[in-house]
Amino acid sequence: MTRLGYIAERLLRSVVVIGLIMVASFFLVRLAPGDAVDFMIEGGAPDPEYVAELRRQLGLDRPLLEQFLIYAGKLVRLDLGYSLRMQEPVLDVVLARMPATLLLAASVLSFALVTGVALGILAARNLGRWQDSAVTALSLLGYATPNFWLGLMIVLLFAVWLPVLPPYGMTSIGMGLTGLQHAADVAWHLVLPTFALGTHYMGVFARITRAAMIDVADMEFVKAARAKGIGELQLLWRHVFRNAMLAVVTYTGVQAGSLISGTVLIETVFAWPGVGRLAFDSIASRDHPVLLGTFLVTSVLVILINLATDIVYTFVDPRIEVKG
Amino acid sequence: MSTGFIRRLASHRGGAIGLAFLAVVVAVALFYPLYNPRSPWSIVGRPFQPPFTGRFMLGTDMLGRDVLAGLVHGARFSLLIGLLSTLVSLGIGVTVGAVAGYFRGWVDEVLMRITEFFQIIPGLVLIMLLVVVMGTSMWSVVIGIGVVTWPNVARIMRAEVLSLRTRAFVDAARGLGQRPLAILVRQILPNALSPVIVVASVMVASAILIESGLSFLGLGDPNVMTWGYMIGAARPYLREAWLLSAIPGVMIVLTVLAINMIGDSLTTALNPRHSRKGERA
Amino acid sequence: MNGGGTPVLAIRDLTVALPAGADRAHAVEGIDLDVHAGEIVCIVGETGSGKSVTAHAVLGLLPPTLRTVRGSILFEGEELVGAPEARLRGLRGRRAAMIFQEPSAALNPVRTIGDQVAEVIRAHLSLPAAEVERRVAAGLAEVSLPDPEALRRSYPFRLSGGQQQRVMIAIALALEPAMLIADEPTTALDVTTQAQILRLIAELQARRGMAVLFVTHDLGVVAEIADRVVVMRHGRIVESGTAERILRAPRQDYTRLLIDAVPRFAAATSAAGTPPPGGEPAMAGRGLRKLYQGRSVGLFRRRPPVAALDDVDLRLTRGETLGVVGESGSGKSTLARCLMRLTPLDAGEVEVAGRPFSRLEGAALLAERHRVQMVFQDPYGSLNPRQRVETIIGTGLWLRGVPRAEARERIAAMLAEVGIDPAAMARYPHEFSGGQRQRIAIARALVMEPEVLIADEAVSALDVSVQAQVLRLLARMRARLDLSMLFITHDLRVAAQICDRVLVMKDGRIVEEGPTGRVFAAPRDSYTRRLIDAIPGRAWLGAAAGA
Repeated sequence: MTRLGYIAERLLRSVVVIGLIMVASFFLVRLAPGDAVDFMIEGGAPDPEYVAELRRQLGLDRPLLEQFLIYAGKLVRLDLGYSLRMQEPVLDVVLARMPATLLLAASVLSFALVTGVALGILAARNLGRWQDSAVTALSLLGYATPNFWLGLMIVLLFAVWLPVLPPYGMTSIGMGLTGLQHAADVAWHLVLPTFALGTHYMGVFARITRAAMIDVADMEFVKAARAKGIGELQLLWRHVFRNAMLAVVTYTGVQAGSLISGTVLIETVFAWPGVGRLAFDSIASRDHPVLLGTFLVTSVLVILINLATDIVYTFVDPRIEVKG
Repeated sequence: MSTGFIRRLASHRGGAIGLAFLAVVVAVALFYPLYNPRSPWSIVGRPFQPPFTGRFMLGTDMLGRDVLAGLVHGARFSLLIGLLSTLVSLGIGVTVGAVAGYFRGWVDEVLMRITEFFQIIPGLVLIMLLVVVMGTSMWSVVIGIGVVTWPNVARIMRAEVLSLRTRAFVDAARGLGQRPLAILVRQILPNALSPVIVVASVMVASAILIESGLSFLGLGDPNVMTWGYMIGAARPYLREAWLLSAIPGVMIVLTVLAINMIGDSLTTALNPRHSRKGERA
Repeated sequence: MNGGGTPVLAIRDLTVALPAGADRAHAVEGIDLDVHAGEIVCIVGETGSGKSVTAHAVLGLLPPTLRTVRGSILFEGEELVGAPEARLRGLRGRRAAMIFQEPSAALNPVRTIGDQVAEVIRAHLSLPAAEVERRVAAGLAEVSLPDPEALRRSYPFRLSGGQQQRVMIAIALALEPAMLIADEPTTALDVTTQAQILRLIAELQARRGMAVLFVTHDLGVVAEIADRVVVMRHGRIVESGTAERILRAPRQDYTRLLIDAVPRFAAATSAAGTPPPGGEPAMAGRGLRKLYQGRSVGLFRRRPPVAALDDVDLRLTRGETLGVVGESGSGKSTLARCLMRLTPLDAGEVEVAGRPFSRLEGAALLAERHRVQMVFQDPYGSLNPRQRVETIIGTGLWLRGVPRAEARERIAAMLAEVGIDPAAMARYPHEFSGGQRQRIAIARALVMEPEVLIADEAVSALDVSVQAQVLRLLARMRARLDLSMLFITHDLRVAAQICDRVLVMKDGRIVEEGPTGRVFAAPRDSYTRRLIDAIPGRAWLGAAAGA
């Protein structure tokens, strides 16, 4: 019951944030020189009839609030506009690219979580020793390396000099693979982009895990558990790790937005057919409705990811009732 | 900042290395134009000259521009944009966080929902939109980065203020009749700044990273030579002249690393958890 | 008393080094200590005496920065100094168990109670699951916890502090150890809960014939349960002996000083406080009410609101000290905050010196504010670490428009008055000890020349010897400056010593009010009676005063 209440509260917050996203995108378009229609069709085919129709639809001569309501009404009906370049509704264009981005993001997140948490534990268990220094150095390096540049460098290394991995794309072209073979092919293509983007988050998660483990290990209940005569491994697993994970789960949600940002760059480097690449292409082709569409859709996606981590959190922390 | 503080900072090995590296980069960025006043965009020789071979220490790029000159100008603008956007971010974040944390109630609720919005949205996509709307210039990049990075500052500031405002010395000041704004500025802020300084240092580094990504995508200021632009421009020649991409990237890595090492040392220098509680008996 | 037989625990010449750069070389040095089966040995001492280090050293639970450099710890005849970690682990929880000061911190927040009790059993014995469960239930029942079945599936945050400490005791005693080490196990608890836990420990100890090593700072607690006492100071043993002998005929000056510093509870009960009858009120509150919103549960539901103050009337006569006593949650601190205008009242009126105070705003409030000043509990939290003493004390004067030069003189005079060198004005709070900081906080309040001083647990965080000094200072200043004082405390002994009249609060209401001597000698309310009965060392304090 209280868990449902908590989730309902988070859901309501998400709705508020979605509202803010609508407001923000509305004003962003108004910031642009000219009116909203100029922004929408810039560089597109200037069909005067269509332009007039669009102006009428958006009610650009009406008061601001009314314009916003018209705009919001369209968004609520999932009408994100029409891409003149692609001759398709914006929502369809963006959603078609979504699976590739989700796959990449999931792959990056699992890689970063598994390696980062493992490295963080390793460092925390060997505080002050060489393993700790090595993990700290590695995570700093992972953080400091621009992911797009790392992408270029590993393409150079593993696709040009040692041609063992595919340098770009999501599938091998013209092989007509199906089923398991297709899956293996996609996985093979995932390796480089995952590594390029994942090292940054690996560093982040390693640092967070290490810090959380150290914090928790200092807590009174760990000493109390030690006084029970529990072995070090049990202590680490049942008491320290379990509580340290609370910080990691919280942080995973926080990182979701940045992760999607990262895919823009990485998809561009690796010609990965996802939403990020679409955003980049839409700037190059001045297809502004699509750019706006990617912003709206990815924002909602990140909100959903956050909602998911909130729900996960209710399962890791029994005290959820007293927070909020 | 006192000299004692800087000495404490430099006594951490990482901080010392970071400071030294950054000092060299800043010095070169400031004084190199005295030695070579030519624009980094001007074509000075044959393209694709490898490093350490001819007149140009790091060779020339695909158009015959001096790579070293580009690198130095890149340093100027990377650091400048990093600093400016951090200032924007601090300005918004400190104000929002302090006000939300001190006044709580509906003010806090409203400000935190807005903060959440900016924290949640994919920052790079928003900056791309902003740059498209405002036009590509250094200022749209600075504002864009500032606008997407302030939530972190605001959250840290708010958490600090929330915990400080319940401290008895704040109650004491209220009991003496000090007004809310004066309490915020005189009692709370001086105690809340250490973590913000640490975050600010790391934010300069993230801003440099974000800027390099934007320039790489071709969304930076077209009149400004930056490291990200150099990587992006050299990308089609990755196979033939990989050093053209590699060298500016290494500069980014080293600079960001140096700033982060300084940030780490700041953390320890600003709150010396001396003698880890020891005994309580 | 327990002279014969082999002791369960025998510590000889135990010396633990502090890390380099500490204020002394050793946390403890040359400690000799025996604990026999069936006896409770108390280690008593003030902050920094090394009493906790001694207790933690036994089971090798010292933090890594502290190292045992010398000496021997024989437990059931076995040397533990230098024993391998695996051997220590085998003893911990099985032959010797430990309980801690903060029960809420000592339980893992994300594991169930049952799981945490079962854990110690599983760590040492391989028993079938059903047998483990049976033992968990029996263990919880033995420490008198209600509904052990439901409790097992519950998480620690749902339990009160006293219940949590009972769970810790159940965990400690699950495997029937020969020895229990208790590190200030009742310090974080309310006085009535403390009495229950002390009784529980004494009962279980007697039933099982355990050896108990009990660390405390409170001589009253010592008087309640100790068979023998070890007094520590600065890492060394000052004196040890039977509880009877130490408490009644201490041989060392320091022990005598500690005992004399314990507030003379019985003194007040004999000399009935005499409030000036019919004097004009310095502060009066009528119908004070404060509700706290219930915690929100989910989106739209809240727990019912809690009345922190429920129709409270009070009258502080000029020149008197009025005590407000009660346990945590009684509303006494809320009362202080409302009177001080730090928390808004929901209803009721407060007058100061006959003038309305509770409704003033803005400039009018600023003009009256100095009349009521406060001293806070935590001497570390109440001084801004980034301000010099001059700013800390002077802010209020500056705000009232006193010129800097005059303010300086008044600050210097006030510092001298509270026993701090006026040169301290240029220094920062961290350069002072806890007692000195509390003097600075008192100077900050008194420099405003208030009519009413509210002391909110102003001596609770201080060591007993410092506490006695600060209490003397407060009494002196009250007389010198013709102050009226509202003295809020959870410690009835302190209230009995310093107050003319007391109010006893419970659940936001005043349950009893009267002259201190009468309330303590002949309490009319059953709750007051329970509070007084729970005062640790009451019999000893009474007898000592009578002697």
